[in-house]
Amino acid sequence: MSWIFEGIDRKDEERKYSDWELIKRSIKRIAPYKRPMVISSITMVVATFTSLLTPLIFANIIDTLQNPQSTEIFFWILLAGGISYLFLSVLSWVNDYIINIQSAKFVPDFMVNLRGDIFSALQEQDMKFFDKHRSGRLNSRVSSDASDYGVAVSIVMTIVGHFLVLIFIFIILALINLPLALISAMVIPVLLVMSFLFRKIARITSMSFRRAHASVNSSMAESVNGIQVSKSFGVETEVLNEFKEVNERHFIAGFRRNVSMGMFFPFVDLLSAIGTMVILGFGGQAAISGIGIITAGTLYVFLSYLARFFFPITQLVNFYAQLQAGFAGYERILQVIDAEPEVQDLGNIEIDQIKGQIEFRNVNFEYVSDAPVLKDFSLTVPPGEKLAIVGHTGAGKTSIIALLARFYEFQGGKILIDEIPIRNIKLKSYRKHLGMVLQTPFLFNGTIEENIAYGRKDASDEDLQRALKISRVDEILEYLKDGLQTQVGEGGCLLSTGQRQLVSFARALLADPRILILDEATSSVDAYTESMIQESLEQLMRGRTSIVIAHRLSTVKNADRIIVLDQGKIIEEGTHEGLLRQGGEYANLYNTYFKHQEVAWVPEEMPQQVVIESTPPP
Amino acid sequence: MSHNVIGLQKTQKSFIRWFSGHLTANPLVIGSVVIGTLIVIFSRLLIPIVLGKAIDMAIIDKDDLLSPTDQLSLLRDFVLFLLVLGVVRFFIAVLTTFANDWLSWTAQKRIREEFFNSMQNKPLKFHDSVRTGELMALATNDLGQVGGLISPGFGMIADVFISIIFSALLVIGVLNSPELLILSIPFFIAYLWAVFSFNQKMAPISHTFMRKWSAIATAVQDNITGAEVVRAFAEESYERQKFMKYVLDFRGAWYRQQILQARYFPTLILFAAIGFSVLAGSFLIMFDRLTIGGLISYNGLLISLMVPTYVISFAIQIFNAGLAGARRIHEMEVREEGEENGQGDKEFPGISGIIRFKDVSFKYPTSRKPVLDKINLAVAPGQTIAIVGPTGSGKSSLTNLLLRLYDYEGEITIDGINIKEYSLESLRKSFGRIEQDIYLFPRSIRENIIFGARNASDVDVKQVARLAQAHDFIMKLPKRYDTYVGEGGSQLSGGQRQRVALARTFLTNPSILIFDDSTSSVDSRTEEKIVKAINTVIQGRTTFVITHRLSTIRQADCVIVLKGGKIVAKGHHSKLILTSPDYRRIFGKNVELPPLEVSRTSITPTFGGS
Ligand SMILES: Nc1ncnc2c1ncn2[C@@H]1O[C@H](COP(=O)(O)OP(=O)(O)OP(=O)(O)O)[C@@H](O)[C@H]1O
Ligand SMILES: Nc1ncnc2c1ncn2[C@@H]1O[C@H](COP(=O)(O)OP(=O)(O)OP(=O)(O)O)[C@@H](O)[C@H]1O
Ligand SMILES: [Mg+2]
Ligand SMILES: [Mg+2]
Repeated sequence: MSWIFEGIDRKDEERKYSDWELIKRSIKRIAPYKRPMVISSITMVVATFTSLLTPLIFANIIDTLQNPQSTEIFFWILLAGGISYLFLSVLSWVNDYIINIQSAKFVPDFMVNLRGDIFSALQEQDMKFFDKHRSGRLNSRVSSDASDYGVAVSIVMTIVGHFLVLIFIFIILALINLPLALISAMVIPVLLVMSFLFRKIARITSMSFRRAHASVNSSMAESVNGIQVSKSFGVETEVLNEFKEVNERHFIAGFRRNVSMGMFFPFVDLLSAIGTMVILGFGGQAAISGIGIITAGTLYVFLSYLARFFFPITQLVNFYAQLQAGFAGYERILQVIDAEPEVQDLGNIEIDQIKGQIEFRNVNFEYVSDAPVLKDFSLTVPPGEKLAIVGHTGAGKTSIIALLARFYEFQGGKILIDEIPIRNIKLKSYRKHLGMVLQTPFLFNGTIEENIAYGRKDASDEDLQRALKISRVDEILEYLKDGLQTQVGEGGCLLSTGQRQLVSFARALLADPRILILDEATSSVDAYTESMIQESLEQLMRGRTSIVIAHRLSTVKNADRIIVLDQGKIIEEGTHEGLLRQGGEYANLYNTYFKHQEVAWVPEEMPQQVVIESTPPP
Repeated sequence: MSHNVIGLQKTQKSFIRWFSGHLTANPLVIGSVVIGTLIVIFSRLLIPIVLGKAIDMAIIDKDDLLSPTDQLSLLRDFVLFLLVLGVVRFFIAVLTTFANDWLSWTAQKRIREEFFNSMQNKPLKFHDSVRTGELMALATNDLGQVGGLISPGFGMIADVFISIIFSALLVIGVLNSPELLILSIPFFIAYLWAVFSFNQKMAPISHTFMRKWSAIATAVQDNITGAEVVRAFAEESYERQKFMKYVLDFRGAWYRQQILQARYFPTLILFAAIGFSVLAGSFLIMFDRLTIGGLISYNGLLISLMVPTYVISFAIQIFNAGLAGARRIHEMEVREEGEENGQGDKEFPGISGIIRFKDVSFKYPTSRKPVLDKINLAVAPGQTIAIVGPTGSGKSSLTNLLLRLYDYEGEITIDGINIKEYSLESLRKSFGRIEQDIYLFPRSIRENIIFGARNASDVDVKQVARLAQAHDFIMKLPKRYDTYVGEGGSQLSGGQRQRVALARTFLTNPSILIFDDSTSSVDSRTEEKIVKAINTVIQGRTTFVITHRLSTIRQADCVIVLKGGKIVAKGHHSKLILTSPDYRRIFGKNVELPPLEVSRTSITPTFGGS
């Protein structure tokens, strides 16, 4: 069976959990559902008794009928027997009903809590976590891994019943014939060993299947998100071929898992056939040669009970395999739940009001080790200042604000907000004071209004109108069919890029933040609209700390202070005029920029092209 | 109304054809699975019979025909027969499981591939309206249910049917009491009705169940892709609330399913029938209308129906879930016609002539006014044309049409031939477009650059990276060209992303280039370098440039100004700057412009192809 393990790669960085740990944590999860568990277990006991009682009553009725009397009392006895049989039969259904209802109360609720916990764990993670894990894969942990685990847990409720049945039937078998009962019980250790071996197969194949499943998920997400690119390049065929590989791996993993789990039943069947055979052989021999007190009748009864004996065993062993499959999912779930975010919300300082002073003190920061982005970075922004950060692409501008927003944890130094170390401040209370327009504007699927109100859902209509006006969203609304109620599509794909930026701008403004951060907030917007926004923003920014990042230097000219960043270091700082006078990097950038934007400028390397008249002769 | 019904019937028919086509794709394997399943089921039914025979003939030996030694050897034969039966059954069962799983998983694989391909071929209009999470759920969860329908679903259903028919035949054959038979008819009818109505109720629940499941997947996907925004606005608890709504909704569907499962009446009816048969039977015996043996066997047979009846409920659930999944997948596949149906079969020969827009109008399904309104435009080969205009004026949309990403009214021709006559792949491969919102695939930088030309050599990759001003920064990254860029390229800076996308397009060596605001995220010095590079690349290629930057516009042979879906001005920069107020507006207030020449502002909004 070695092929089952072929090509199964265990990712080393994934945390592994021992069975014991998984069981312990599962028990903790199930513990709150004591009530349905207890009720259904008690019902199971009742059900077992009922099912053992009915044949007895039936036998009694038969016995009574064997020597019929035509007395009235006989009639009543028969009636009583018949009715109680009927009653017990219906009771069996009621038992089933109760057990099912209890599981209806338990499993869906259990899943709600489980999914809620995974989701909450995801909300606690910082951006580094999302850099490491693709959305499609994470998604499968909340959806299908959780389902698998849920299935396993839902079977837990039935094991008590199976145990009881097993024990009762063994007692009956032993009462009929002890030696034969002991011989039949010999299958149990064999099955135990088998299920122990099976455990590993079930777990490993399930794990690799869960992983393949996640890959399909993330390939699907990737191809859908990049559909426009694939189409523009006309490479759908190539993309399909790549998907075929992922699909093939999924096929192999899934087939392997199902086959190896499905093989178990024929095995148990074979074992039970051998058990029956052994009993028939031994018992028959004893009966024929008259050794012991085995009669043919005993043997017959014994054999018919033996069939019932195997059923709960199969179920129990199968449960174990299912549990292992579920544990594969649970292990992946725990990897998310237990993942320690680097940015921990351990701070206990709530800040209701802030002045808006920001200080970076000798901050060191890297995304991946040995590739420092900020080295010994220091910067103080007094409250109310309008600071601009400029610099080459990849200099670390976005990284600075990512640290400020606590998206990532920094490695050395200190960041202080109003002179309080940022790590000591409660994250939520702090972030509420930030308003950010991120470099890649992301909108949630929903209407424009929902998106703008995202950061402040109770904003008044007045505030909303003001935000719309400043960000010039009111102008784009004219183009859109449903105005503010226009759907923006997934990620905002139904809007033009500039419109998306404006909407995310309005969202930041409406949040009414003390600290406003604009990272290339208007880079895709035409210059006219941009300059209009700037004018109206002037007034709004007054009294607020703001950080503006822009490559279009016209945007930063009016800043109180401009810092020029190069490879994570501040190389120049000052006002626009000051820096220009200084004639350094900023002046260089500005001149290049402005030179190009000047109407009269003629590029040195104007390509020598024949200018073809754009209207060809008809 | 009647039209609707016909439509429904049509999709129903096409669904049945589609699904049965997938199910019967491997008739040989299906045949062996059926045979194997039958053998396994019958050999299981054989065991009690063999046991009975063994006890009757070898052990009890009523008529004393055999000596004890013969009895023993006969017993041995029986035991041996049981063993052989067990082993044979084991092997057949193993093979059947194998074949059945193979059937199920190949079907899943095939449908998934088909689904993926179908999604790839859908027009962008379709992708604008579906959710990623939903497609993910369809490709995994729904499809998984379809697989479950095949294995273990079919085996289960076969098992149940055979057992029930078998037992029913035995009841009729063995029972010699017409009274008991007549008495059980109402139960029988009720039983059938209960099974039927259980199935009826399960079908819609399965569908809802699946729909809500994908709502969860969609919600999670949204939350994860927007993780940065969620954190920036500290809206984690709101997000959780939103998510819990979907999860609770799903719980509702689940709960209903479980309650339906609990109120499973066929077993109640069977239990009642068993109890009633004992009650009535004993009185029938009392009045000598039935033998004790008759009652015992009747009772035994009814009890043997118990397990199959339980199994039916699961089989019905699996069956409906599989069907609902298949239906949802099929619905998605036929929801919008694939693009391949609208294409011609000509190979696009590369550009040689004029690109011409004739009265091209275009509207998104969701837009109020036409996004592009009767656009007329002609671009000579090798020309560079700049498209400018305020946000949302339709610049990107215009280039979308060139690539036939959306359908439009009017005609676009290249060298006099309507682009609809070309095959989509050859047409699109001749275009190189750098989209406005760069999407990089979650792979390495190298893999991203070679996305459009997979066989490119490392030398070529480096060369285009240099051209796009990307090589230097790539070499500074710890893993260089093997650096993983993150989802959508999130682990690169904005400008780095843009340059990788430039390199990606340069590598395909397209004959028509489209730059959609391709230097919006880089500093002016880098821009200058990129523009220089672009200028060498565009030599001899027809180029469309969408930009807000004057440096680029100035070099264009022709500038068109879009506003409100119309071309409001057209001509060279030096002319427009003096004549078009709309054009002048583009530069905002920070640029000093020469005075407007009022006398020459008479521009014709439509242009070309008169
Ligand atoms: N999530 C990340 N993981 C790893 N490296 C990253 C990540 N984000 C950015 N980097 C790297 O950090 C460096 C600084 O990036 P940053 O985004 O801060 O640049 P930037 O100054 O904002 O540039 P731009 O003007 O292009 O937006 C770059 O080299 C980039 O590749
Ligand atoms: N996929 C879409 N579905 C529906 N409407 C869309 C879609 N894409 C764009 N629009 C709408 O069509 C109009 C034109 O959009 P387009 O992207 O062409 O503008 P643009 O000129 O490129 O703007 P920008 O300068 O902001 O990129 C806008 O009003 C926009 O809201
Ligand atoms: Mg940046
Ligand atoms: Mg655009």
